[in-house]
Amino acid sequence: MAGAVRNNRSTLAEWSRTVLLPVGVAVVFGILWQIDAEHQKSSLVIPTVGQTFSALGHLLFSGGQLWKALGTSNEALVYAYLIAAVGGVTLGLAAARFRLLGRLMDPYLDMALAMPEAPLIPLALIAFGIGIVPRVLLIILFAITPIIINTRAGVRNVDPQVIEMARSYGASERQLWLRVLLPGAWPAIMLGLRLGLALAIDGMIIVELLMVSVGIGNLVMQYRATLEGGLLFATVICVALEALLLLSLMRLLERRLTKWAR
Amino acid sequence: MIEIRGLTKEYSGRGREAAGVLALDDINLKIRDHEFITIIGPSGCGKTTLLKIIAGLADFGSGQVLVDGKPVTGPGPDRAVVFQGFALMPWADVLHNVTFGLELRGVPKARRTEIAMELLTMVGLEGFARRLPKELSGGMQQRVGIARALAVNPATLLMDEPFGALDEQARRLLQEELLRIWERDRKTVVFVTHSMEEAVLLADRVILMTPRPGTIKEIVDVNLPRPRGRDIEKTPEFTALKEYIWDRLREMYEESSAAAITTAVKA
Amino acid sequence: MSRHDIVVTAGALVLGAAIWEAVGRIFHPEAVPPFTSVVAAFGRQLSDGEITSTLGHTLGSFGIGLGISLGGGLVIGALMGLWRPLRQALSPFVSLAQWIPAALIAPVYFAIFQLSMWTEIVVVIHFAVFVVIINTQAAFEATDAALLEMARSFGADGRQAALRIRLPAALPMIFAGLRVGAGRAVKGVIVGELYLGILGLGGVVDKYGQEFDATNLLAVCLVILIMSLIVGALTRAVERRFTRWAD
Repeated sequence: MAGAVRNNRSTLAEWSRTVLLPVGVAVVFGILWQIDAEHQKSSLVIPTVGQTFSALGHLLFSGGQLWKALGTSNEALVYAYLIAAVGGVTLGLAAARFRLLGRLMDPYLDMALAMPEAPLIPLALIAFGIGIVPRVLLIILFAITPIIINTRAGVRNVDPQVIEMARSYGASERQLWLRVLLPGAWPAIMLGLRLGLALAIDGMIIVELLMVSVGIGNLVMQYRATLEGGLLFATVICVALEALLLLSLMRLLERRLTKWAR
Repeated sequence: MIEIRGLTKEYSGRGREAAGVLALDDINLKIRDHEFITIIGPSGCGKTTLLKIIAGLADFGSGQVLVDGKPVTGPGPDRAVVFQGFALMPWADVLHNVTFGLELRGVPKARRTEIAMELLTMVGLEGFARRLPKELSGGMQQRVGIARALAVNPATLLMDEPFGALDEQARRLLQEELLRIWERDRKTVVFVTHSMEEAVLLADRVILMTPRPGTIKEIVDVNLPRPRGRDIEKTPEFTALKEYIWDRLREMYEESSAAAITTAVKA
Repeated sequence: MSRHDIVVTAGALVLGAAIWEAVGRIFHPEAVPPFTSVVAAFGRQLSDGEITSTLGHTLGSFGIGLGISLGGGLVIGALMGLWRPLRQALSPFVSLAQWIPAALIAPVYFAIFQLSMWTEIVVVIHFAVFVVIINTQAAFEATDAALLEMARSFGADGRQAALRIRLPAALPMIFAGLRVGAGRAVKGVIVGELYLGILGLGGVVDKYGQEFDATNLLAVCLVILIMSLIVGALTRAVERRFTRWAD
């Protein structure tokens, strides 16, 4: 009897700690931010918490500037991510199937992993000028590497005994791919696709910030130039929320489709 | 009938073992239909390799492997394998694992499900058809593996230390299950094992193999009556056979230790 | 790497260079000068000393930013891993900060720190620190319970257990975090410099971009590539050296 009461109390304490502690931190941070913003005399750009929230409200609900910008930015993202997903998975599967191709790709994949893609942005500008094509190409560049690598690793890591088993039951190569290798590699492929999405979103932003501005990048530059700190911060928050939404959806999809792998 | 004549296989892979030592050296063996054969021997004696060659999953250097007079060129519908690690597809449920071989052969869905459910009932897993492999114990997973092999109705079952990864209780239960299932059709079975009790309990004949090079040292007839149950282990005949096999195995271990010491001294 | 691997890798690189050269010479696209021209420009930049000062600036920001990320990240991550309330308080923010596309933060930091060295360094920190925190936290959280029990049975107190069991056991994941963090720091410093457009290697890239000089631009990209590869190789070597027992 006493034990049961104690349990209830401790779960409540546990729950309140999980929620209250971060909230507490957020409140403290907010207060510090407010104090700092009020003491800023020279920099006009750091908004107060209040300014940021009102700007957030303004952006989301009145005037279509934010939504228009999101539309422009995401257009490139959608094209690029789809191409990167299809292309990346295909290349990854090919690299797993044809070992020589995989080995030839290895040094380039290593370089792509190590090197920041950002310096290639001016290059794309020189080649393709301003427009949606260079943006799409660059986002593909940002996103495709983890997709290729994870797809290939996923196929290679399918239990060799299961592959042998399939052979022993007379599976043809096509049957082996469709019924064993692809389903087996699926968790890794989904992981690669999720990482690729995260990098694609990053790429979308980087390209707009460093290239001629369109979309969100343009909005950010504009607000910085006109010293509208509240709108600047609010835009950043909105994009972060979009990223959060997309990636959470992806995670959910990943979880649901690969229940067997947990 | 399975006939093996003069089968020889070299070790593959670079730098393995001493050069020129054979994985299998001049194996000759005849396995009659409906016979239950067990193969036992120390590690490295080639018993699993021999099984894989019969299954058509491994190639060999010289010699002949004939099934019903026809040479083995690869896996075939007349032989099905049960694997030590179960080799179940983790992404598919139990039912789909059992119907795997049938699916590959284009058997229509309704018939596949019928056969699979029949076999799952036979191995006692009819309530688990929709579960995933990870939800089953080791013993249950291997029963799925056995059901899968039986689903394609092979003439020969090839079993590669199928109970080696199980704890002792599961192993004993599955041995009894296997004896019971086998009585139904009395398929030809080639069963590789490490355990002397298992070898004698299950077999009509026990093949003893030695390593380096892999050869058949001796074939022991097991003339115990069938159908068999666990109680056969208490008979003096069983004990005598088991001890005999152990003595032969111990000789092999001692010989190979002596050989290892001589090689070490030479090196 | 076996002999065979080295040959295939070299072959792949030579093949790539050959294709690049061919495309450059045959098609003369503005954005793809021949491989040899780029190498020549690379050589000139090195000998001119154009690269040395800018590289110094980039390495400086990278080093300071990475250093602070490692120091701060290790401490925060360790404390979060060891002390539950702190973990509960901070981890939503750490996860959240990771969701923000990292480049977006550059204008924000620029707004705060204006045109000082600090903008760049803070961008580097933003890129690198979260990975370090998360890895370190996971490393300390996940200590093998059996090992800790063993230590307790020999009379180790909390502090001794932390030092003698948790710390060594955590090293593999910590070094993995260091390796990934260093990679992120390289990306951070380049993105930051490209955004500010003045100093360091990123600034030089920006300059050549505005001048539409693909040859020199690619040459600087080569410098950045080499720097990234060296950082990667060094961190991997350090990781291997300290975690040999973990495999």
